[in-house]
Amino acid sequence: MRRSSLLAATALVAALAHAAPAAAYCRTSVCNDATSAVCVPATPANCGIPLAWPKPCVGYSIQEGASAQLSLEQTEAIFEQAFAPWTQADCGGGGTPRIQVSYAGPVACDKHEYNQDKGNANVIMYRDDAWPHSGEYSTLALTTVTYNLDNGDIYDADMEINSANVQFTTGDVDVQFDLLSVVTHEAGHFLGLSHSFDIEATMNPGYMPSSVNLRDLTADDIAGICAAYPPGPPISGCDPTPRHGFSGQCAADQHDDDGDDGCAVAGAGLEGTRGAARGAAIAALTLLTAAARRRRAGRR
Amino acid sequence: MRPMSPRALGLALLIALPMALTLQPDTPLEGPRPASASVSVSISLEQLVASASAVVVGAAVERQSRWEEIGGARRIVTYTRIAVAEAVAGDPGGKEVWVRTLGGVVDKVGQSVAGDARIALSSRSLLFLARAGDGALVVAGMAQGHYPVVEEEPAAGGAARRLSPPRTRLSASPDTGAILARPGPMISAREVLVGATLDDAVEAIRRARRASDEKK
Repeated sequence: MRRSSLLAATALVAALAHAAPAAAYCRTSVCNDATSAVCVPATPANCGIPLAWPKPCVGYSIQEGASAQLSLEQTEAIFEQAFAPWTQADCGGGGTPRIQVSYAGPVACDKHEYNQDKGNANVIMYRDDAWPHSGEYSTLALTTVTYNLDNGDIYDADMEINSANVQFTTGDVDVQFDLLSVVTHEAGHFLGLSHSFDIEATMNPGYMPSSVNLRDLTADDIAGICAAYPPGPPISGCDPTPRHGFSGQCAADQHDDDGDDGCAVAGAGLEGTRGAARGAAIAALTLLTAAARRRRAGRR
Repeated sequence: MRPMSPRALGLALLIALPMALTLQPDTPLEGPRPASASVSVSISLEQLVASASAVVVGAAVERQSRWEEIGGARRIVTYTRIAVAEAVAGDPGGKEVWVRTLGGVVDKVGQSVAGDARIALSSRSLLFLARAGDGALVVAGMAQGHYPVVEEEPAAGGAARRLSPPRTRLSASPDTGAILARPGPMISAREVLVGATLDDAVEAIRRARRASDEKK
């Protein structure tokens, strides 16, 4: 047998065996009381109910102290850019994902927490002083997603950024660890997506530093977000109030009679009047932000 | 180009399939990556060994999740009891140790913390362990310090298959998150350990430990 023929056959078989599915986005799921994933096209390991935000309006907040590396204003701009490609993705036929992610303003709380009997916020926070988890010199960012075990509804998502040990860059030159790339990827997780098999996708786990490629979504990312939040009727009266009401304070600082940020919420699933009022304020802010974005888009 | 003969195709399959099916980092063979939501840079074996107080091979025999306050924040954590079969380096502090990882399920609430080790019950793993600030044992480097041990059936059939015991190899933790290569010439611990036989991995770890001790 000719050696070249054997080599060609070997390469072909190896390539076929390693070939990933053609389209390959995955959604985080809950399966047998644990976190798993559901991919399209289906893989043998597909299992469970995909996670998704139950309401079409989700808010996020940024810890008011931001970072010595980036100011609050710079961080706000980065996160607006990070979420925009997901929420404005072209799902075809003029439709976009039926999910609106709005900035709920800076908050005092600097802890990841999901409160079952107090107000909550989906907080993005830098860790300037120390990284509180293992992997202090290797982890760049970490998102904690809390969900309902029975139906996959996402209750809360918080993102921690390891600014204590990592020097992030934000520009297009001398790129090292590009913050926008990292948080665009994390924003996909925030919305319930898991890692993709598509090597070009923003949600693919294997990307290199010094690159800004992940800032832009690929067709695979867009297919994933459109499947998670299919286009639908326009969202009216957007209310991104989190479960158990909104509070910019951590649980330990919340009081039932707190007039500022406290959320007067007594029980699960109930939103107190102050929480509702805060929610209405956030909704108004959301509408104003959306209107401003439309105006800006119109000027482009 | 001449068409490939059936013999060539057969030989190609014989050579390429075992290579292709060897456990590699970032291959889809393990199925989808569940709920990973961290972004990390890769750690070298030397860094991993230096950051670990002990390296063990052990089996997960019990698991309990609960809400716990860590660094002032209340979150779900999972404690897994590991029956230590071999202390590869350092002193784990007993024949059985409890290892804490982030995330888990309590009542009807699940918490996914991506990028931390997810140790399956009844599974055997190579674990790099470190002490957290509050004294709990955690996995050094999160998922990059966790390598499930898998048994590999011998390739040969018949008598050879019956006589040779299955070899054990290391695979990647199921939830390693996004791992960035560091700039510069560095070989990551995952590149060294994933796909290696357990014996080779233990030897590499002990070598790295000796080198680390000599530096000190």
